[in-house]
Amino acid sequence: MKNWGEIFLGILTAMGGFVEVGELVFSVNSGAKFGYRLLWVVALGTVGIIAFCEMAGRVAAVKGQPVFNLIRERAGLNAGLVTLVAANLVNLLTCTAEIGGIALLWQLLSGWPYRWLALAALVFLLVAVWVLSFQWIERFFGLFGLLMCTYLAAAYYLKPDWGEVAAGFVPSVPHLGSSSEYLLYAYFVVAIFSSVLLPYETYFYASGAIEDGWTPGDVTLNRIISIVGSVLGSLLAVALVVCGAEVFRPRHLEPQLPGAAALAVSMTLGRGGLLAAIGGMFFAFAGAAIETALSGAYNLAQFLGWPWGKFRPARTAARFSLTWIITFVLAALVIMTGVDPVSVVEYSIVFSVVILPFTYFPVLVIAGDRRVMGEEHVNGWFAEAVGWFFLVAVTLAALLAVPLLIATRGGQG
Amino acid sequence: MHKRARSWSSWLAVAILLLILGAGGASLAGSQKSQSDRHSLKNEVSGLKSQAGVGRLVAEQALAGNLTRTYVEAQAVQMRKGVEQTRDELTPEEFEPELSTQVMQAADLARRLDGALNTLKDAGADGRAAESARNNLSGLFAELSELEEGLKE
Repeated sequence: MKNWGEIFLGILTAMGGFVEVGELVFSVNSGAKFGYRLLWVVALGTVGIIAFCEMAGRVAAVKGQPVFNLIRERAGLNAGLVTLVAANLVNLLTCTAEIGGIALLWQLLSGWPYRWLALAALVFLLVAVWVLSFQWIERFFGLFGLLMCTYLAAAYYLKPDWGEVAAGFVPSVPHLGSSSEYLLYAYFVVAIFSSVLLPYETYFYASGAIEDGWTPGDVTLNRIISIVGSVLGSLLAVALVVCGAEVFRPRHLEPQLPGAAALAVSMTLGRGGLLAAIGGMFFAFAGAAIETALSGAYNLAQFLGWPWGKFRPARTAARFSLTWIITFVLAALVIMTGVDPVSVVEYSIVFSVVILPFTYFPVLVIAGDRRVMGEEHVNGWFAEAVGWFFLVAVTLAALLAVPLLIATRGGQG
Repeated sequence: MHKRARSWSSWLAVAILLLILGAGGASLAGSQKSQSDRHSLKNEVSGLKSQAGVGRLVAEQALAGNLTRTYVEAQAVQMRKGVEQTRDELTPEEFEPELSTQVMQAADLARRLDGALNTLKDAGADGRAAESARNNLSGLFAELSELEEGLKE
């Protein structure tokens, strides 16, 4: 069994999914718009991401196969190619938003010009991924990303009505004033659900398991890591919703900038809390940027059969290394044109839901195939039932995402 | 199993392409729409109101000593960027003709909000500037809320 330090793979994966720049603003805004009424979506999505990360990690540990190998094998070349293009577009958009988010945060600390800081963020990310091994990337960004726990402390000190918070975990449709508000609520349900189940989390997690050299003996560790990481990410998302509901909702505000979300922490924990929150957001955004850039490279290399992995020297996995470098550079170039990072990631979240069924179907089929996984590691009835339930749920979400995006004018209502 | 999965996947691939093309088409059609309606104007005003409210909160927190000087300055700069973008979109030609009075009013409030956020930049270092910014932004928040209410259908 591997070192328990591998828990940071789960933490980093979850940070990149639950508290990246778009999800952060989305969670705070969902609290500001609907109070605690969307917490059940976070909980539902968390069960889904635990189920699929566990399956993808188990397949990686038992068969040594990452997700895009499975997609190519089970979905075929044409459908696999569509998924690859869409997945890597989502990765690029998300990476773009994270670099923009880092630049915004650094500006709050330094006051320097945004574009120069975006360039500095690009250099920082390139150096970090080039110099650090995969294990040190996990530990460094996973550990310091825990500074995001200041939001948990802030949520506690804001003294919410815990009964109301608990009621938010029961699925319900609130009484709203107009049909446009119902549409907006539905848009938030789909967007939060898909943002918790972002496909790159599974690509990164399964590839990370192979980077870390997992074997069939690590199946139990995989289960623990996927649960701990996702529950932690989910708790942080809940804390952000509480901050939105307690600080911004009573004032009728919808903050659009990550720095504004940190106000909820400064109100309860003062200046030190503010700096810790900004630090936590920086490590979470940087972790998400690395997760998406590496996922893009993993996907392409696995689909085309190139040598891949941070565990290989760059010269023996040259095309893989070049792909993550190009992803970072393209993302930085896009953000330097001045586009709003939060808008970019909101679109990427909605489009990512469209490829979710394609990502999760092959994982579910392989993890449930007795001939491939063997009696010992095949899905049990519970994992199968949960997997199929979420496959239906993500397919429904995929069908609704784009019409809702249009009907709500990009979530504006 | 492989054959069935592939057939399922092919249908899904077609669905994905149609959804993406549909979204692209709808976005294009939306961007070519000549004039925005009352609802769009209400959304713009709501966004400005939110900026004014967040600005007021920044000023209050600066007065309470919970923020750093650089944070206040940079947050004001970032918020101004959003306000300037909205202000540039608030021209009567962009909206239906019967909304021209409200559009002009919103544009004026956006200009004043931009000015108030410019004052907010100094609020981290100067208590009087923070006080003045807070009062200005409170007033603007109230005016924008009133305009937003008036635009509700």
